[in-house]
Amino acid sequence: MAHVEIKNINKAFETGKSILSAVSFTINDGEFVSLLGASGCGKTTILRIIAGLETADSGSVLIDGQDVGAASPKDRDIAMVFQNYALYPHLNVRENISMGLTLRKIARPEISRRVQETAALLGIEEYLDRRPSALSGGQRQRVALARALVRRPKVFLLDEPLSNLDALLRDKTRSELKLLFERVKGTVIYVTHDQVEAMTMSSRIIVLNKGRIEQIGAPQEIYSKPRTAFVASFLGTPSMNLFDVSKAIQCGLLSQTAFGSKSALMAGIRPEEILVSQRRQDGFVEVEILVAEPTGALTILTLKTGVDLRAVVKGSFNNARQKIWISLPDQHLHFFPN
Amino acid sequence: MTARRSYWLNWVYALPALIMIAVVNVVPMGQTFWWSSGFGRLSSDSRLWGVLRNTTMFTFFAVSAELVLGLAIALLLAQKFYGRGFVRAAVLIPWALPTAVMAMAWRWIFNADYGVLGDIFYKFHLSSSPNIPWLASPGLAFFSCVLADVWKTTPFMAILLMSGLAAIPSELYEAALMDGAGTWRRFWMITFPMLKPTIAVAVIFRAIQTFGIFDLIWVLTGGGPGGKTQTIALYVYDVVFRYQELGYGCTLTLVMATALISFSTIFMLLLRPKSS
Repeated sequence: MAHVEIKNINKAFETGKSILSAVSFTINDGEFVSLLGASGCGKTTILRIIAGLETADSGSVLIDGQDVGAASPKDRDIAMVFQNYALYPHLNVRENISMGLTLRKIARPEISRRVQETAALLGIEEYLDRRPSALSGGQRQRVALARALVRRPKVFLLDEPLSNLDALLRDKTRSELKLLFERVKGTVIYVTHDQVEAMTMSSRIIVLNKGRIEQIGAPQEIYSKPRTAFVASFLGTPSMNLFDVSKAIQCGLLSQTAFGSKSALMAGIRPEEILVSQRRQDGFVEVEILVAEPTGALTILTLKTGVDLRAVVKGSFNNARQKIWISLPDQHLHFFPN
Repeated sequence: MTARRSYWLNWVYALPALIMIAVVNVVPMGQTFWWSSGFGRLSSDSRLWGVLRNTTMFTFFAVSAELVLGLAIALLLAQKFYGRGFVRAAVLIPWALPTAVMAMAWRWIFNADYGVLGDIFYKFHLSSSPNIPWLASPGLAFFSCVLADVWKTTPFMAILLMSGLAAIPSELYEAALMDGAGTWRRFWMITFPMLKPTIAVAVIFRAIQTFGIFDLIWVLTGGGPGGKTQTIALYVYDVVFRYQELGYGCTLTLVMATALISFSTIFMLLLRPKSS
């Protein structure tokens, strides 16, 4: 297991458009780190640069302190799980899993022992003699994982491994994956655009936007202390309310005396932190409900105020008058440069 | 419009095309059967077996060479390099030329007195004289014809195989790179098995066309010397137009069709994807 260090990586398309700019981060031994961002933010490119499938224009990749920039993918002792699994269609599951070991000239008995062990770990022993085409999406995904695990590499790279599974299976596999990599004590770099995957599985999250790192931190830290408006809006469902402080003062949601000095900034508050009352209360502002969307456990309220605002309340919400009173608690307000 | 009416209208719209096909395809085919005669002669026709052997050998050598060369070119042109678009277009030129025209050019190249190929052999000390009878020598004429055919049709093979290569997902090669597979291993593990269906279609296509070859050989050797390059299509031409034996010519055409149908069937069965 290993320590991965990315130092000041830059990459641009041939047209000159930047893909990655000044990307640096460190991943510690046994850590599960997610690269989170929208599509096109460069997260997969980072993964491919670490794997050696692409080269950076400048900057370096260090694995256990050694610069691997000149090493070919096979010499980096890294395993990758591809988004579409990339299983060899003409080899059976056993051959697919063992190929990396066979090509590394590992002794046969050792290979068959490790393949058996890994297949047992992932519950795919019965499929070892089948071709990938005879497997379901979830089974193929496990074979792809087995192919990576069996090698016992220094680092695991996972490129959106759950994105091709249906929603129900994805939820189940998410927790299984987390347990699995805890058990093998793997160093994992996990690329995803799904904030729930990143939040639930990672020890740390690296949030990317347009080829730049927006924030690095533990999931809870990123959620509660977003450093930029992008991070704030990217994590959490429904996403954080963002509005100009000056507008909020105008429509009475924030007081001039307390926030007048911040009127040039942008403010943010998570929908679940907004206090909602059915009755008139001190310090609360009366607002109209535009839409109430019940989701079962929660109801999302879109409110009619001078700024775009959504609030979340527990359970179902009955309000014939379409009117409530809300308050934005100071301690839950975030401020970002506008 | 009711479904029934539109159904009949579809047939009406297709009618001109159907009539054309009937006139140029179905009617001649029926006539071939109708006119064919002299089946008894097939077994005693001593030339037929030589002609069939020539045709089969020609098809085998030409298509094999095209496959190997076409695959090499396709693999080369699948790589990214500067000026690839130009090279891709340039490779196609032989295939775009009319056969009669390119065959005339090859007749010059092969000419025993002033042909450039003999001169090249002479200059590279591969021959003691520049006057090599490429088309007149019974031993050389056959392979000269194969060479000219390979030159012309390899681009077609390369194009078909290139489309097959383009359909192989690049992730597979990347996974193989991470597994530590070298170029050779990647070819046999990924490229070849995934290209097999395309190869099958390309080979069948080319084999059918080559089996019926006429124009190229007609221009180069006319079937000679001594019938060494006479293929079945040339033989049919001789029987019908030189000896005026239409009935037997039709019979020979049926032999040719039977041979092609059985070859295609066998090849398809051999390359049928295995169900796992």
